[in-house]
Amino acid sequence: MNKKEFMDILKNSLLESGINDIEDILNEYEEHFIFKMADGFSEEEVSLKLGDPKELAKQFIQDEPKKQLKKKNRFFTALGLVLLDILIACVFISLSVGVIAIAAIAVSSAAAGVLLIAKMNIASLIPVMPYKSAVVFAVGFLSLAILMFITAVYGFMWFKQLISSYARFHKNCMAKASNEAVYPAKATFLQISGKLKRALRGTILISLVIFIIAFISGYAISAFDAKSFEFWHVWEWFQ
Amino acid sequence: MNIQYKKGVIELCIFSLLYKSDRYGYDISEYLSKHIDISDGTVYPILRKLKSEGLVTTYLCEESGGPPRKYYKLTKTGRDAYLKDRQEWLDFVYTVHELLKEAENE
Repeated sequence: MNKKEFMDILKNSLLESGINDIEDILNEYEEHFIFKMADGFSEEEVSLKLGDPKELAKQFIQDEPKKQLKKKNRFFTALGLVLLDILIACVFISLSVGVIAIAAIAVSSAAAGVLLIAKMNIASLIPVMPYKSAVVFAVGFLSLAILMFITAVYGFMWFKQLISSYARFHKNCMAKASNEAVYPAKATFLQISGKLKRALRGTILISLVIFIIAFISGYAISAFDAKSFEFWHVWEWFQ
Repeated sequence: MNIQYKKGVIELCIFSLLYKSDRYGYDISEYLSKHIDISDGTVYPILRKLKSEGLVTTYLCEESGGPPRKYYKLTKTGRDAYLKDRQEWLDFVYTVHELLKEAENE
């Protein structure tokens, strides 16, 4: 590309982009050609080293303030974000209800386990059964409580991460609309160390296994004692 | 290297050159493209941006046997911005350096 071709493409690209003071910019490149050619470079060499004129023209665009567009952008972005916020709030509320429910299961299982082992029968909530069965069921309930507790903590932490990730997204959207610098996005998944993760996973797995074994064997022992697969009828639980 | 990333660094280099003495556009472009892998034309959009932000001003200087040269000069705001950015950059590089060193030792 010779000097004239380079300058023509640059000029047209700058015009297309609606940039002010094009003469000023063109003069600068004109000068560059003169200096460089005085050093013995050919027109082709100079334009090659300058880079693609279309790309260069693009780099001038960012500097031009576009106030009209900016205002509009901000308005529509804000409107869109409000609508999105409402939707996301609904999702977050249902998620938090889920986490609370899991936590509630954890608390009640723990209570049931403790009551069974301690032979405390507050308000006759616990049906009649041999102590043997009670202990086995209690172990099941306690492991269920651990399982649910870890799940709830996991859920809560993940929920927190999601909220902060969404808050960052929200902030960045507005920053982008007003042409300001954005922060890096935050992860939507849980940020915990590998060691802790493995420990939690192991605990969940073990408590799940204990829970299943305890309930199956609890059922088996009770059925054997009562000599009926539906031992709850023999012990008159629902009467 | 990423172009946006590079642009920020080049901005800092331009600041550093102008902090020592006033220079004309071609001079800056020549100096930087000798040391950093960028195309010669990249410097001018950045210079223009700095000017529109009021960090540099320009003045013309007649040279014997050539076209008048457009010199760039840091403004007071520009000098302050450079000192601040310089410190930020040095801290940043130091942190990265420490991090990389740590990673190597593991």
